[in-house]
Amino acid sequence: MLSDAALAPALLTAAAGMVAGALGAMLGIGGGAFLVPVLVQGLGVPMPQAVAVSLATVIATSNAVSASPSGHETINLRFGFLLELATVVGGLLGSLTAVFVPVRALMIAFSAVMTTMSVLTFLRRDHRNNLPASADLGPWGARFLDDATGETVAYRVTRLPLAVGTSFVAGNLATLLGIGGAVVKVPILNGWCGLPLRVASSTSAFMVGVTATSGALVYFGRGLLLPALAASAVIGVRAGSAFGLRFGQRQAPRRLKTLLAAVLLVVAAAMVWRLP
Amino acid sequence: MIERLFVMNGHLYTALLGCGLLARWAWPGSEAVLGLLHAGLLLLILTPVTRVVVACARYLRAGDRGSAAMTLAILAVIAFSAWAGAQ
Repeated sequence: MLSDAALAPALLTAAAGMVAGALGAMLGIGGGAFLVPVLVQGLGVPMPQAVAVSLATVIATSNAVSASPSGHETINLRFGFLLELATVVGGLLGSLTAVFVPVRALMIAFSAVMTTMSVLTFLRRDHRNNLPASADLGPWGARFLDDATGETVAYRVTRLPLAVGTSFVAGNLATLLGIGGAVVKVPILNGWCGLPLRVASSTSAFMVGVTATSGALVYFGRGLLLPALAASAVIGVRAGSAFGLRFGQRQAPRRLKTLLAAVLLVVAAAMVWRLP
Repeated sequence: MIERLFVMNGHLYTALLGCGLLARWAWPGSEAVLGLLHAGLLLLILTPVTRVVVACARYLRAGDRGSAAMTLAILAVIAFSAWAGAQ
């Protein structure tokens, strides 16, 4: 077992946190799928402690995005709370039904869905959800100032049952497979529910932080959150998310969608690699 | 005003964790340093919940009871999950 206060593991963890933070700030995904293998395979950190550090980084990314001016502009808080409610209920049910679910089959199905999602995201990379500024936004839509173009973007939420159902499934999968549900939510919200990618990713980044809180509190209370390693990861995340927020704002949605498609493919491959 | 507090909160826990990390290398066995790191981590972990509480208060003040109920339900499920996980 590595020393919690050793320099090399702290630097490697900070570097991994930087990548997770940058991806999280740009695409709204938690980064756990990336950080946990680095900690477990690269540093020999036991799985529960690695998951605990990963949850801390997810929260750090969420906090950074929520507190940033661009996050403040694009997060759809009220819609996020509706989806978050579905996610936490899905997560709760997942924890109750975990013993009855064949995890291997679920992992294979998840990989297949992620691969399909990656291909569809790539094929639909030129699809936009922007409406004219004067358009009817419906009960859950909103407007925001797009930093990349300097224009006010309006959007309306479509297929609400799909958005809520996806959030429920994402919460369920998060518990059953130990992944952040954002990789499921962001492509669906952007591709089929009318949210521009910046809104989907920042709202998702906010939500994953709330979702991760209960788990992080449990790990913290049980003393499984290695303090120095978690601190290194969080500092890395702060730097990475600052970069991700600035870089992401300047990128055209087409580029971000291509990056999202690539990340989804990597997540699918990582899940196959983890098959028991 | 509250958003500024959240930004300052981010700087505060980063400073606590950064100082704690440096002090941990200097004094690996120190309980005080461990306390500093734990304080930073707890501040970090509780931030999203604080945001939900603040949003709930805003919805209540604006008379939006539906949204306030959603935030309260989220807080209840998080509290239950944390309690169940700790058993």
